Amino acid sequence: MVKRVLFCAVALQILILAVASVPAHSQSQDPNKEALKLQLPKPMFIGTPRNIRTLNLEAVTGKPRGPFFVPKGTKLLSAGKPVSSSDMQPVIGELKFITDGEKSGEDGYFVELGPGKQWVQIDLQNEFSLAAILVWHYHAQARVYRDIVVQVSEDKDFVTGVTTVFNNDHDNTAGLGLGKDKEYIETNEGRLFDSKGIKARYIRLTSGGNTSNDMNHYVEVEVYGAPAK
Amino acid sequence: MSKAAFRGLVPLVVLGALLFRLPGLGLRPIHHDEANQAMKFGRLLETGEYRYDPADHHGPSLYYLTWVLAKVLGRTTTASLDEAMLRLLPALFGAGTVVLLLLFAGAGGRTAALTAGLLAALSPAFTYYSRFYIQETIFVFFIAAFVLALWKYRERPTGARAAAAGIAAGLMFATKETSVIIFAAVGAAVLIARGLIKKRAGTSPADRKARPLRDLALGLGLAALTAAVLFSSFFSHPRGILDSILAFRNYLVKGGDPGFHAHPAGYYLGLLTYSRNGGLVWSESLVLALACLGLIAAIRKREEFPVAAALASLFAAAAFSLLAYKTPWNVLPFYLGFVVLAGLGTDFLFRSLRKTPFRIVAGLLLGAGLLHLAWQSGQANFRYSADPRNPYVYAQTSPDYLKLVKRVNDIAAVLPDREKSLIKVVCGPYETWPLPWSLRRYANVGYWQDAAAAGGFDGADVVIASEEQAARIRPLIADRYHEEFYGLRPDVLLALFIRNEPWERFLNERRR
Repeated sequence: MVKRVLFCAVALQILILAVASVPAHSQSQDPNKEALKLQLPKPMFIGTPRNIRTLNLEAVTGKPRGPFFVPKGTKLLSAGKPVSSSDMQPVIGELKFITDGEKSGEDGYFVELGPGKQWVQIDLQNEFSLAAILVWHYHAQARVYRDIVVQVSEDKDFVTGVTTVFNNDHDNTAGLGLGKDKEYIETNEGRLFDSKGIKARYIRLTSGGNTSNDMNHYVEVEVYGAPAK
Repeated sequence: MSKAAFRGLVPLVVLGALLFRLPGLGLRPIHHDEANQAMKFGRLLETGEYRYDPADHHGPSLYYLTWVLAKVLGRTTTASLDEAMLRLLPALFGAGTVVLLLLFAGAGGRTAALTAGLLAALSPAFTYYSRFYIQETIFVFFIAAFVLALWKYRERPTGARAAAAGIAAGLMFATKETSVIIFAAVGAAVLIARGLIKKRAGTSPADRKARPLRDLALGLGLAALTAAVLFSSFFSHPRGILDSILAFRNYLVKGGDPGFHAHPAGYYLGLLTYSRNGGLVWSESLVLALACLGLIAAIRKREEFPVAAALASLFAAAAFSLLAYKTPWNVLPFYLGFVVLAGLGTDFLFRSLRKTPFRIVAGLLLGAGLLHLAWQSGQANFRYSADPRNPYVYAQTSPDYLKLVKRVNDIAAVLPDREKSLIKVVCGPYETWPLPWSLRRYANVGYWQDAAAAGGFDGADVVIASEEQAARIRPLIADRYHEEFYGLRPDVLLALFIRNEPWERFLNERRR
């Protein structure tokens, strides 16, 4: 009896593992897709300093993110593109740091925007089909940025045609709607947002301070995609 | 500097001091030390009861002075207090210290006094802790008053001046236990300076009339009386007088086992000289450089006041630096001496530069340095007042904590019981403060250190827990509560559990 139960448990475990691996396996076999090649900065801290486990926070696995598959021909679109912001005169750093390709977590590589709700906006200067948006707010310290909302649009004022890619503002503090996404701890991997091929020219990222201080930071934002068809 | 120019500039210096001390006093989230003292003061305000605690919280002067201010402002309950009102007291004493420094014009010269006042008015260290509800700024004010009275007595010995020095000394002792370091440093400095500089005694009519033994007895008597009145809670608790002496045993133990507060000997000097963190650079090197010139001036001039000021500053700096227990605000008592020296150094600099172009260049450089100090003070007090990259920020409550307090207030606002809603706090002592202050308006708040002792959570509208306790509470309340977390201090988080019903009600309010 015990052997049967043990056998069933092992079989079930194998089945679960097989099912769990199916999506990634099938995605990687899609002939029209390829793994997005990313260059990550070196980590500034080892491991996760705090064992935070709350319903609102993504579980920290401590493992690499794994491959993210995008349509073939996807390119980095944001390099050197103009950036505007709700805080056009940052005390530390410059807005151009956000698209300059430097992702180091050390001093001198991030821009600091004022306290409370602030946004930055990247103008891709043309409409593209967006595959992924990768954001490093600040990765020298394990911290959580509040009320992150990532939106894309063809309207530079974000009045019409706005699509929300990510929103973890679960109580609508930013006034951009209730978000269902979870908060996350910043690491050197950055946070990848799946933009699912949405067509847009402008990317706007909003945040509302962080768990260490009330400021908003950006080391780098990378937008990947291909010309809109 | 002419008398007219000095008189014209004094109001500007005082105005500068007030500009960096009074606006936005409620901006920074309350520090746990401030909150602790605020609650202790609240008890004095509401019940008239104060007992000196020889283990913690320092001397009674802060509480009694706040009592006076609260009465003036018409505050009668703990709930009616706020951060801005409490911090107004050190802010006024901080500006008062600047005024006292200006009164040193007779000792070191008008240029020296004006520069010292200006540096103290603009220094990030002085301005930052002038906006902090702790003893340090008040302590520094009484040190300045004590030294000024001593010097005035030295100039012209009178009973009134001896009495003023005595009262100031008593207030110093009733403010902080570290006053003994200052007494020792000033005493040694004065004796050595008098020994080094042979002043012909008994030449002036005032000197001939001096009765040093009577004045010494008067000064010591008033110092003891002032301290006794305050430590004994106006003689309602005589034990406080004995405790004020026994406290040194506790502070010696604390000094020998500083724990989190252990820092190397160069900590204070490093703090003032240069710090760089997260893209922010801070330095009060201007004051230190001018203080070095002041030292040179003291050696060259061989006058009693500069030599005594230099020795007292160095002795105090060495003593505070050698103590293993360090907190950044402990820099102020000896930094006051450095500021006085910097004033003397500036005077010496301009007297040494005989050619006008050199004086103009020095004036421009000094002006630029003062502007830089002012800019840093603006950053330290208004933009980065709670930011760990600010070197004067120490175990500071994070701005994220204010969001937790706001959330509790918002949730209570949608509950029928409002400020009578049941709130359970389950945290160790390190994570509990400043919650008692922030939740002071709530009638039904309970504090436990362990989830098992809290008697269940079903009736609680809100539960606040440390990370460790949250892990124990989470399985007990399962999905009946919405959970959030907030930063309390760097690397310290609090979990907030909100009963689902008020949470949904709150969200519905938000959706409207």
